[in-house]
Amino acid sequence: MTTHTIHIASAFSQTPAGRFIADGPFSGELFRDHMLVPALRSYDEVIVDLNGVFGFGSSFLEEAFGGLVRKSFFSKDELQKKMRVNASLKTYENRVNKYIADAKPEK
Amino acid sequence: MRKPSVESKARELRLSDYVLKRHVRALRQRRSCKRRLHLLKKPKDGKTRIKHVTIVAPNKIIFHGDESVRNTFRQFISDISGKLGSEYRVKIDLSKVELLLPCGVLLLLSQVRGWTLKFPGKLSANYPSDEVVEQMLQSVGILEKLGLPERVTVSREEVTRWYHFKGESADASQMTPFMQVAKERLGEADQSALYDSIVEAITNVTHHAYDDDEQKRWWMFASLTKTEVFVSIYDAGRSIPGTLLEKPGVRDQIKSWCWGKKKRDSRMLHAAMGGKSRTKLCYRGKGLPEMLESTMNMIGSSLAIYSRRGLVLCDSGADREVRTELTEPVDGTLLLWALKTAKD
Repeated sequence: MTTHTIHIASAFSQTPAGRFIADGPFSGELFRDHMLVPALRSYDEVIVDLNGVFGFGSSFLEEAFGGLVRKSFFSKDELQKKMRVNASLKTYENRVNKYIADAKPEK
Repeated sequence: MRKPSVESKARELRLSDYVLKRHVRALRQRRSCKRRLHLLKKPKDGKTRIKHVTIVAPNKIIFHGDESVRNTFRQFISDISGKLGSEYRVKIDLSKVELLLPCGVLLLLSQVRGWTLKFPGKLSANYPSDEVVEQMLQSVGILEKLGLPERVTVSREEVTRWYHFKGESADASQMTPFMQVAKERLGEADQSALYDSIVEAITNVTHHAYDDDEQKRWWMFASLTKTEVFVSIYDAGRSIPGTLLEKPGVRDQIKSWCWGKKKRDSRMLHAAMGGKSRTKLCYRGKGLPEMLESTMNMIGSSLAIYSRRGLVLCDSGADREVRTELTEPVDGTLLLWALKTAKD
């Protein structure tokens, strides 16, 4: 079983912000499409480490994680098996789980 | 010769009056025409005649608070816009400015940017007399935009304690130094809440505030003291009530709730801030609701939002929200957020 860790602060940015790529250089869509989805497709398990950043806007988190289900990259069940979130502030972990739980695949 | 009768003399006088009046009127018309022709006539060098005017800036560049101070500041802005629109060259006399607050500086920054883009080369100024005012206007780049080269070192604590940022997108990387200090002073949880609210607010600006991408811009001031964090964000976009009314589904919802009622814009601001129990507005970003939540969780904190005619003031100490309708609308949205820190 292969495991990969994405440390957002060092691999992506300390200042993630925005929903869409047009919003800014470190948006949720960019993180999802260029880091998260390739990692989830390449490894059996992906650990997303949220520590070390200054924070996340709701738009970023919803697009990056809720967007995995909305855009039909993965199902909720697949994400439950393949992805783990590591954050010292439990509020972020809870929000990621909520955005995934609330997301519905777009038709 | 027989002397003229009184009646005939009067008749003659009346006639003279009439003639005199007509004569005077004709003269005046002629002079007026000449004056107009003179103004229209191009000077001998072929260039259009340029009109100059000096407009004195008020001693307080403040928007939030006292209405008379706000109106004086508004009038100053409006005078400059009016004269530039009438093809005057405007010189701003900054010598009387004694006090600047972030709310006023943000609005002035946005206006100066707009004026210099729309009327290039038509705006100038003289240096302020007050040293702190000069340092502040220099550090935010207003003096440079007005064609005044930097001539002082920014050293006063009243100026250096302010961080100022601007952008066209939701790029928060420039805020790294501010967030590092905030993390040290507030701790990770409060600093993260601060960051989350700020980036959501600027994401909202990039999504909703402007039609034209070229106009898209936000400005921000932030400061940290031992007891307080202050953040002020401004955009010159369509305003929150304006954007709410452009979304068909939401427009009907809002109209049913606000139409015909007083304080219409401030009611819409309330809805955008998360007054969902009454409006069920769920489409908007979470920036304002998150700011409101953080404000209400920290005793002594406050949040003020100006957007179009609406003004909403939230005070955690008083645990209440005050909604006011302004007599004159604000261009865009101004947000003023003061948080008492846990280390007070």
